[in-house]
Amino acid sequence: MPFLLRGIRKGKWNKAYPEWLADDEFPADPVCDFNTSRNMLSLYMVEDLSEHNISRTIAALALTKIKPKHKDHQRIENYDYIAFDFGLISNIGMTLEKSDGQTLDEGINANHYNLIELSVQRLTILAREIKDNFSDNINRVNVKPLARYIQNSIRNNNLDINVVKDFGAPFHEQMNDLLSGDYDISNIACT
Amino acid sequence: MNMYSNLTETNGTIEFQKYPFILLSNASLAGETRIKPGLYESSKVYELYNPKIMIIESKPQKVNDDDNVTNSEEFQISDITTFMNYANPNLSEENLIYVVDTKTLDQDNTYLQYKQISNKIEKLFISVNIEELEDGNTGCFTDNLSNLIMKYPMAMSCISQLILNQKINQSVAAETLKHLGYLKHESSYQERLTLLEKALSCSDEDYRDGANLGIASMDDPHAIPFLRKAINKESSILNIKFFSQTLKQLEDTAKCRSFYVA
Repeated sequence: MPFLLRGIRKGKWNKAYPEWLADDEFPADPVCDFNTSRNMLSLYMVEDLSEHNISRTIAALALTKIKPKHKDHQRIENYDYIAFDFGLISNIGMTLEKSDGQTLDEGINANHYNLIELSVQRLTILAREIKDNFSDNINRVNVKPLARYIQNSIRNNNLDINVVKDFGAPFHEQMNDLLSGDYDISNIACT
Repeated sequence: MNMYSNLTETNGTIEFQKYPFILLSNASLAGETRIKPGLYESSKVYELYNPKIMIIESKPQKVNDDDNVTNSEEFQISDITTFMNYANPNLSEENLIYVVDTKTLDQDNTYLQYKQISNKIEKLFISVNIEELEDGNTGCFTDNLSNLIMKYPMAMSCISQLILNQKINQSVAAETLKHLGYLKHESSYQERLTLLEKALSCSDEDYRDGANLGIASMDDPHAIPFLRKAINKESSILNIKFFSQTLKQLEDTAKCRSFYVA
Protein backbone atom coordinates (compact mmCIF):
# COMPACT_ATOMS: atom_id res chain seq x y z
CA MET A 1 0.00 0.00 0.00
CA PRO A 2 1.54 3.33 -0.99
CA PHE A 3 1.62 6.36 1.27
CA LEU A 4 0.67 9.97 0.92
CA LEU A 5 3.13 12.47 2.27
CA ARG A 6 2.76 16.00 3.54
CA GLY A 7 5.31 18.37 5.03
CA ILE A 8 4.40 19.51 8.54
CA ARG A 9 5.82 21.39 11.51
CA LYS A 10 6.47 18.77 14.15
CA GLY A 11 5.68 21.18 16.97
CA LYS A 12 2.10 21.44 15.73
CA TRP A 13 1.47 17.70 15.87
CA ASN A 14 3.30 16.23 18.81
CA LYS A 15 1.23 17.74 21.61
CA ALA A 16 -1.38 15.72 23.47
CA TYR A 17 -4.98 16.88 23.16
CA PRO A 18 -5.39 19.83 25.54
CA GLU A 19 -7.64 19.39 28.55
CA TRP A 20 -9.94 22.25 27.52
CA LEU A 21 -10.86 20.54 24.26
CA ALA A 22 -14.44 19.22 24.04
CA ASP A 23 -14.93 15.63 22.89
CA ASP A 24 -16.14 16.58 19.44
CA GLU A 25 -13.43 19.20 18.89
CA PHE A 26 -9.99 19.05 17.37
CA PRO A 27 -7.07 21.41 18.15
CA ALA A 28 -6.33 24.08 15.56
CA ASP A 29 -2.56 23.72 15.39
CA PRO A 30 -2.30 20.55 13.28
CA VAL A 31 -4.91 21.82 10.83
CA CYS A 32 -2.73 24.92 10.28
CA ASP A 33 -0.25 22.67 8.51
CA PHE A 34 -2.88 21.88 5.90
CA ASN A 35 -2.74 25.04 3.83
CA THR A 36 -5.28 24.66 1.09
CA SER A 37 -5.57 26.41 -2.23
CA ARG A 38 -8.90 26.53 -4.04
CA ASN A 39 -10.14 24.08 -1.39
CA MET A 40 -7.52 21.54 -2.37
CA LEU A 41 -4.69 20.04 -0.37
CA SER A 42 -1.42 19.09 -2.03
CA LEU A 43 -0.06 15.59 -1.30
CA TYR A 44 2.71 13.46 -2.76
CA MET A 45 2.56 9.71 -3.15
CA VAL A 46 5.47 7.44 -2.22
CA GLU A 47 5.54 3.67 -2.67
CA ASP A 48 7.00 3.00 0.78
CA LEU A 49 8.81 4.82 3.55
CA SER A 50 12.27 3.34 3.08
CA GLU A 51 15.04 5.93 2.91
CA HIS A 52 16.01 4.74 -0.55
CA ASN A 53 12.50 5.31 -1.83
CA ILE A 54 11.61 8.51 -0.04
CA SER A 55 14.85 10.49 -0.27
CA ARG A 56 14.19 11.86 -3.76
CA THR A 57 10.73 13.05 -2.75
CA ILE A 58 12.08 14.69 0.40
CA ALA A 59 14.83 16.46 -1.56
CA ALA A 60 12.29 17.85 -4.01
CA LEU A 61 9.84 18.93 -1.30
CA ALA A 62 12.50 20.48 0.93
CA LEU A 63 13.67 22.67 -1.93
CA THR A 64 10.14 24.06 -2.38
CA LYS A 65 10.59 25.77 1.01
CA ILE A 66 13.39 27.90 -0.39
CA LYS A 67 11.91 31.22 -1.30
CA PRO A 68 13.21 32.54 -4.63
CA LYS A 69 12.95 36.22 -3.68
CA HIS A 70 15.18 36.14 -0.63
CA LYS A 71 18.52 34.90 -1.85
CA ASP A 72 20.35 36.08 1.24
CA HIS A 73 18.19 33.84 3.40
CA GLN A 74 18.17 30.76 1.22
CA ARG A 75 19.28 27.68 3.08
CA ILE A 76 18.01 24.20 3.65
CA GLU A 77 16.30 23.33 6.88
CA ASN A 78 15.26 20.07 8.46
CA TYR A 79 12.24 18.61 6.74
CA ASP A 80 9.46 17.27 8.97
CA TYR A 81 6.69 15.28 7.36
CA ILE A 82 3.86 12.91 8.04
CA ALA A 83 2.97 9.92 5.89
CA PHE A 84 -0.32 8.04 5.91
CA ASP A 85 -1.91 5.17 3.99
CA PHE A 86 -3.12 6.06 0.54
CA GLY A 87 -6.30 4.16 1.35
CA LEU A 88 -7.20 6.47 4.21
CA ILE A 89 -8.61 9.02 1.79
CA SER A 90 -11.22 6.69 0.34
CA ASN A 91 -11.93 5.25 3.80
CA ILE A 92 -13.06 8.66 5.00
CA GLY A 93 -15.00 9.35 1.81
CA MET A 94 -12.75 11.97 0.29
CA THR A 95 -11.50 12.36 -3.25
CA LEU A 96 -8.01 12.52 -4.70
CA GLU A 97 -7.27 14.01 -8.08
CA LYS A 98 -3.98 13.49 -9.85
CA SER A 99 -2.26 16.65 -11.03
CA ASP A 100 1.26 17.89 -11.67
CA GLY A 101 3.26 18.93 -8.64
CA GLN A 102 5.29 22.11 -8.35
CA THR A 103 8.71 20.85 -7.28
CA LEU A 104 11.98 21.09 -9.20
CA ASP A 105 11.85 17.33 -9.85
CA GLU A 106 9.60 16.34 -12.76
CA GLY A 107 9.60 12.72 -11.68
CA ILE A 108 8.27 13.63 -8.26
CA ASN A 109 5.75 16.04 -9.76
CA ALA A 110 4.19 13.05 -11.48
CA ASN A 111 3.38 11.59 -8.06
CA HIS A 112 1.38 14.59 -6.97
CA TYR A 113 -2.26 14.49 -5.94
CA ASN A 114 -4.76 17.07 -4.83
CA LEU A 115 -7.26 16.21 -2.16
CA ILE A 116 -10.26 18.05 -3.57
CA GLU A 117 -13.58 19.49 -2.42
CA LEU A 118 -12.32 20.26 1.04
CA SER A 119 -14.32 22.03 3.72
CA VAL A 120 -13.04 23.00 7.16
CA GLN A 121 -14.98 20.07 8.58
CA ARG A 122 -13.45 17.60 6.11
CA LEU A 123 -9.99 18.98 6.71
CA THR A 124 -10.49 18.50 10.44
CA ILE A 125 -11.65 14.91 9.94
CA LEU A 126 -8.52 14.22 7.91
CA ALA A 127 -6.25 15.85 10.50
CA ARG A 128 -7.89 13.88 13.31
CA GLU A 129 -7.56 10.58 11.44
CA ILE A 130 -3.90 11.26 10.75
CA LYS A 131 -3.09 12.44 14.28
CA ASP A 132 -4.89 9.54 15.93
CA ASN A 133 -3.64 6.78 13.63
CA PHE A 134 -0.44 7.86 11.98
CA SER A 135 1.50 9.83 14.59
CA ASP A 136 4.18 7.14 14.43
CA ASN A 137 4.73 8.21 10.85
CA ILE A 138 5.84 11.71 11.78
CA ASN A 139 9.42 11.79 10.58
CA ARG A 140 12.26 14.23 10.25
CA VAL A 141 15.19 14.58 7.93
CA ASN A 142 18.01 16.61 9.45
CA VAL A 143 19.95 19.03 7.28
CA LYS A 144 22.97 16.80 6.84
CA PRO A 145 21.15 13.81 5.31
CA LEU A 146 18.94 16.27 3.46
CA ALA A 147 21.99 17.81 1.81
CA ARG A 148 22.99 14.30 0.73
CA TYR A 149 19.54 13.67 -0.73
CA ILE A 150 19.70 16.92 -2.68
CA GLN A 151 23.20 16.13 -3.86
CA ASN A 152 22.01 12.74 -5.13
CA SER A 153 19.09 14.32 -6.93
CA ILE A 154 21.44 16.80 -8.57
CA ARG A 155 23.86 14.07 -9.59
CA ASN A 156 21.04 11.95 -11.00
CA ASN A 157 19.79 14.92 -13.03
CA ASN A 158 16.43 14.78 -11.26
CA LEU A 159 16.31 18.47 -10.43
CA ASP A 160 16.04 21.54 -12.61
CA ILE A 161 19.70 22.41 -12.22
CA ASN A 162 19.36 25.94 -13.53
CA VAL A 163 16.98 26.83 -10.73
CA VAL A 164 19.22 25.21 -8.12
CA LYS A 165 22.27 27.02 -9.48
CA ASP A 166 20.39 30.27 -9.13
CA PHE A 167 19.89 29.83 -5.38
CA GLY A 168 21.79 32.32 -3.25
CA ALA A 169 25.32 31.92 -1.96
CA PRO A 170 24.17 30.94 1.58
CA PHE A 171 22.44 27.85 0.14
CA HIS A 172 25.51 26.68 -1.74
CA GLU A 173 27.86 27.46 1.16
CA GLN A 174 25.65 25.48 3.52
CA MET A 175 25.48 22.55 1.11
CA ASN A 176 29.26 22.60 0.77
CA ASP A 177 29.71 22.64 4.56
CA LEU A 178 27.21 19.86 5.16
CA LEU A 179 28.80 17.70 2.50
CA SER A 180 32.31 18.40 3.81
CA GLY A 181 33.39 20.08 0.61
CA ASP A 182 31.96 17.38 -1.65
CA TYR A 183 29.54 19.78 -3.30
CA ASP A 184 30.34 21.65 -6.41
CA ILE A 185 27.22 22.61 -8.23
CA SER A 186 29.05 24.33 -11.08
CA ASN A 187 31.03 21.17 -11.91
CA ILE A 188 27.89 19.07 -11.74
CA ALA A 189 26.06 21.47 -13.97
CA CYS A 190 28.81 21.27 -16.58
CA THR A 191 28.83 17.48 -16.78
CA MET B 1 40.67 38.06 33.86
CA ASN B 2 41.36 41.70 34.30
CA MET B 3 37.93 42.49 35.67
CA TYR B 4 38.70 40.43 38.75
CA SER B 5 41.87 42.33 39.61
CA ASN B 6 40.39 44.40 42.39
CA LEU B 7 39.44 41.38 44.39
CA THR B 8 40.59 41.62 47.96
CA GLU B 9 41.47 38.26 49.31
CA THR B 10 43.21 37.56 52.56
CA ASN B 11 43.89 34.10 53.87
CA GLY B 12 41.21 32.69 51.69
CA THR B 13 38.59 35.14 52.84
CA ILE B 14 36.99 37.45 50.35
CA GLU B 15 36.48 40.92 51.70
CA PHE B 16 33.65 42.67 49.96
CA GLN B 17 33.61 46.35 50.14
CA LYS B 18 30.46 48.38 49.70
CA TYR B 19 29.88 47.65 46.07
CA PRO B 20 26.41 47.18 44.73
CA PHE B 21 27.09 44.02 42.76
CA ILE B 22 29.02 40.92 43.48
CA LEU B 23 30.05 38.04 41.32
CA LEU B 24 30.80 34.59 42.62
CA SER B 25 32.85 32.02 40.84
CA ASN B 26 33.70 28.39 40.51
CA ALA B 27 37.18 29.33 41.52
CA SER B 28 35.94 30.08 44.98
CA LEU B 29 34.38 26.65 45.14
CA ALA B 30 37.59 25.01 44.12
CA GLY B 31 39.68 26.77 46.74
CA GLU B 32 39.25 27.46 50.40
CA THR B 33 37.66 30.81 49.84
CA ARG B 34 35.24 31.95 52.49
CA ILE B 35 32.58 34.50 51.97
CA LYS B 36 31.37 36.94 54.53
CA PRO B 37 27.65 36.60 54.86
CA GLY B 38 26.64 40.07 55.87
CA LEU B 39 26.61 41.42 52.38
CA TYR B 40 24.17 38.83 51.28
CA GLU B 41 21.50 39.38 53.83
CA SER B 42 19.32 41.33 51.47
CA SER B 43 20.75 40.01 48.31
CA LYS B 44 18.88 38.75 45.39
CA VAL B 45 20.19 37.18 42.27
CA TYR B 46 20.21 39.94 39.77
CA GLU B 47 20.91 38.10 36.55
CA LEU B 48 23.14 35.57 34.97
CA TYR B 49 26.18 37.22 33.54
CA ASN B 50 27.21 34.30 31.45
CA PRO B 51 26.52 30.62 31.89
CA LYS B 52 29.00 30.45 34.73
CA ILE B 53 28.79 33.85 36.30
CA MET B 54 25.93 35.40 38.10
CA ILE B 55 25.52 38.87 39.40
CA ILE B 56 24.03 39.38 42.78
CA GLU B 57 22.51 42.62 43.80
CA SER B 58 23.52 43.30 47.30
CA LYS B 59 22.78 46.10 49.64
CA PRO B 60 25.86 47.35 51.43
CA GLN B 61 25.61 46.16 54.97
CA LYS B 62 26.42 47.94 58.14
CA VAL B 63 29.96 49.06 58.10
CA ASN B 64 32.11 50.30 60.89
CA ASP B 65 34.24 53.37 60.79
CA ASP B 66 36.89 51.58 58.79
CA ASP B 67 34.38 50.64 56.13
CA ASN B 68 34.80 47.00 56.98
CA VAL B 69 31.93 44.62 57.11
CA THR B 70 30.92 44.27 60.71
CA ASN B 71 29.48 40.82 60.50
CA SER B 72 32.35 38.59 61.45
CA GLU B 73 30.57 35.34 60.75
CA GLU B 74 31.71 33.66 57.59
CA PHE B 75 30.07 31.29 55.22
CA GLN B 76 32.17 28.28 54.49
CA ILE B 77 32.10 27.33 50.85
CA SER B 78 30.13 24.28 51.83
CA ASP B 79 27.44 26.63 53.09
CA ILE B 80 27.14 28.49 49.84
CA THR B 81 24.24 26.36 48.71
CA THR B 82 22.33 27.42 51.77
CA PHE B 83 23.00 30.99 50.88
CA MET B 84 22.11 30.46 47.26
CA ASN B 85 18.85 28.82 48.15
CA TYR B 86 18.10 31.91 50.11
CA ALA B 87 19.08 34.16 47.23
CA ASN B 88 17.48 32.11 44.47
CA PRO B 89 16.45 28.48 44.89
CA ASN B 90 16.69 27.92 41.14
CA LEU B 91 20.42 28.39 41.00
CA SER B 92 22.93 25.69 41.76
CA GLU B 93 26.56 25.77 42.80
CA GLU B 94 27.51 25.28 39.17
CA ASN B 95 26.43 28.84 38.57
CA LEU B 96 28.83 30.29 41.08
CA ILE B 97 31.86 31.91 39.60
CA TYR B 98 34.19 34.25 41.34
CA VAL B 99 33.87 36.89 43.92
CA VAL B 100 34.48 40.26 42.43
CA ASP B 101 33.31 43.78 42.82
CA THR B 102 31.49 45.61 40.10
CA LYS B 103 33.51 48.72 40.61
CA THR B 104 36.02 46.96 38.44
CA LEU B 105 33.33 46.02 35.99
CA ASP B 106 32.30 49.59 35.75
CA GLN B 107 35.84 50.65 34.96
CA ASP B 108 35.83 48.89 31.62
CA ASN B 109 32.08 49.26 31.10
CA THR B 110 31.64 45.53 30.85
CA TYR B 111 28.52 45.48 32.89
CA LEU B 112 27.05 48.48 31.12
CA GLN B 113 27.74 46.86 27.76
CA TYR B 114 26.20 43.67 28.97
CA LYS B 115 23.02 45.49 29.97
CA GLN B 116 22.81 47.28 26.63
CA ILE B 117 23.27 44.10 24.63
CA SER B 118 20.88 42.26 26.86
CA ASN B 119 18.25 44.91 26.19
CA LYS B 120 18.76 44.68 22.44
CA ILE B 121 18.35 40.92 22.50
CA GLU B 122 15.30 41.03 24.73
CA LYS B 123 13.74 43.58 22.36
CA LEU B 124 14.48 41.33 19.41
CA PHE B 125 12.84 38.35 21.09
CA ILE B 126 9.81 40.36 22.13
CA SER B 127 9.29 42.10 18.80
CA VAL B 128 9.41 39.00 16.63
CA ASN B 129 6.21 38.11 14.79
CA ILE B 130 5.60 34.59 16.02
CA GLU B 131 3.11 33.70 13.29
CA GLU B 132 5.58 34.70 10.60
CA LEU B 133 8.30 32.78 12.37
CA GLU B 134 6.17 29.64 12.52
CA ASP B 135 5.35 30.06 8.84
CA GLY B 136 9.03 29.90 8.06
CA ASN B 137 9.58 33.61 7.45
CA THR B 138 12.57 33.72 9.71
CA GLY B 139 14.90 35.87 7.63
CA CYS B 140 14.59 39.17 9.43
CA PHE B 141 14.71 37.64 12.89
CA THR B 142 17.66 35.38 12.19
CA ASP B 143 19.55 38.18 10.43
CA ASN B 144 19.19 40.43 13.45
CA LEU B 145 20.14 37.61 15.78
CA SER B 146 23.22 36.78 13.71
CA ASN B 147 24.26 40.42 13.58
CA LEU B 148 24.04 40.78 17.36
CA ILE B 149 26.07 37.63 17.95
CA MET B 150 28.73 38.62 15.46
CA LYS B 151 28.93 42.22 16.66
CA TYR B 152 28.93 41.68 20.41
CA PRO B 153 31.00 38.92 22.01
CA MET B 154 28.75 39.11 25.07
CA ALA B 155 25.58 38.46 23.09
CA MET B 156 25.79 34.72 23.53
CA SER B 157 25.88 35.16 27.31
CA CYS B 158 22.65 37.15 27.16
CA ILE B 159 20.99 34.65 24.84
CA SER B 160 22.09 31.78 27.05
CA GLN B 161 20.57 33.44 30.07
CA LEU B 162 17.24 33.99 28.34
CA ILE B 163 17.12 30.50 26.87
CA LEU B 164 18.23 28.54 29.91
CA ASN B 165 15.86 30.46 32.15
CA GLN B 166 13.16 29.76 29.53
CA LYS B 167 12.08 33.36 29.48
CA ILE B 168 11.04 33.54 25.84
CA ASN B 169 8.22 32.18 23.74
CA GLN B 170 8.70 28.50 22.81
CA SER B 171 8.57 29.07 19.06
CA VAL B 172 11.07 31.92 19.28
CA ALA B 173 13.35 29.86 21.50
CA ALA B 174 13.15 26.84 19.20
CA GLU B 175 13.94 28.97 16.15
CA THR B 176 16.79 30.69 18.00
CA LEU B 177 18.34 27.38 19.02
CA LYS B 178 17.98 26.00 15.53
CA HIS B 179 19.58 29.12 14.08
CA LEU B 180 22.49 28.96 16.52
CA GLY B 181 23.33 25.65 14.88
CA TYR B 182 23.20 27.11 11.38
CA LEU B 183 25.25 30.21 12.12
CA LYS B 184 28.72 30.37 10.65
CA HIS B 185 30.73 32.28 13.23
CA GLU B 186 33.86 30.69 14.58
CA SER B 187 34.42 32.82 17.67
CA SER B 188 30.99 32.03 19.14
CA TYR B 189 31.12 28.35 18.16
CA GLN B 190 31.94 26.94 21.58
CA GLU B 191 29.38 29.08 23.39
CA ARG B 192 26.69 28.13 20.89
CA LEU B 193 27.46 24.45 21.18
CA THR B 194 27.50 24.65 24.98
CA LEU B 195 24.14 26.40 25.03
CA LEU B 196 22.61 23.84 22.68
CA GLU B 197 23.91 20.99 24.81
CA LYS B 198 22.51 22.56 27.96
CA ALA B 199 19.19 23.41 26.32
CA LEU B 200 18.59 19.70 25.74
CA SER B 201 17.74 19.67 29.44
CA CYS B 202 15.21 22.51 29.35
CA SER B 203 11.83 21.61 30.77
CA ASP B 204 9.98 22.79 27.65
CA GLU B 205 9.68 20.24 24.84
CA ASP B 206 9.98 22.82 22.04
CA TYR B 207 13.19 24.21 23.52
CA ARG B 208 14.65 20.70 23.59
CA ASP B 209 13.56 20.09 20.02
CA GLY B 210 15.20 23.33 18.87
CA ALA B 211 18.40 22.39 20.69
CA ASN B 212 18.42 19.01 18.95
CA LEU B 213 18.04 20.70 15.56
CA GLY B 214 20.86 23.11 16.32
CA ILE B 215 23.12 20.26 17.37
CA ALA B 216 22.23 18.27 14.26
CA SER B 217 23.24 21.23 12.15
CA MET B 218 26.56 21.76 13.94
CA ASP B 219 27.26 18.06 13.58
CA ASP B 220 29.81 18.12 16.38
CA PRO B 221 30.41 14.76 18.12
CA HIS B 222 31.13 16.65 21.34
CA ALA B 223 27.35 16.70 21.88
CA ILE B 224 27.09 12.88 21.87
CA PRO B 225 27.10 12.38 25.67
CA PHE B 226 24.60 15.21 26.08
CA LEU B 227 22.27 13.64 23.54
CA ARG B 228 22.57 10.23 25.21
CA LYS B 229 21.68 11.76 28.55
CA ALA B 230 18.80 13.70 27.00
CA ILE B 231 17.40 10.58 25.35
CA ASN B 232 17.40 8.77 28.69
CA LYS B 233 15.50 11.61 30.32
CA GLU B 234 13.20 12.55 27.43
CA SER B 235 9.45 12.13 27.90
CA SER B 236 8.31 12.90 24.35
CA ILE B 237 8.33 9.84 22.08
CA LEU B 238 8.91 12.00 19.03
CA ASN B 239 11.81 13.80 20.65
CA ILE B 240 13.38 10.44 21.55
CA LYS B 241 13.04 9.42 17.92
CA PHE B 242 14.56 12.63 16.60
CA PHE B 243 17.30 12.88 19.24
CA SER B 244 18.27 9.31 18.38
CA GLN B 245 18.52 10.22 14.69
CA THR B 246 20.85 13.08 15.57
CA LEU B 247 22.87 10.84 17.88
CA LYS B 248 23.34 8.32 15.07
CA GLN B 249 24.40 11.14 12.74
CA LEU B 250 26.98 12.43 15.23
CA GLU B 251 28.31 8.94 15.90
CA ASP B 252 28.77 8.46 12.16
CA THR B 253 30.53 11.82 11.97
CA ALA B 254 32.82 10.82 14.83
CA LYS B 255 33.67 7.54 13.09
CA CYS B 256 34.29 9.36 9.85
CA ARG B 257 36.60 11.90 11.49
CA SER B 258 38.55 9.24 13.38
CA PHE B 259 38.99 7.39 10.11
CA TYR B 260 40.49 10.44 8.45
CA VAL B 261 42.70 11.15 11.48
CA ALA B 262 43.94 7.56 11.47
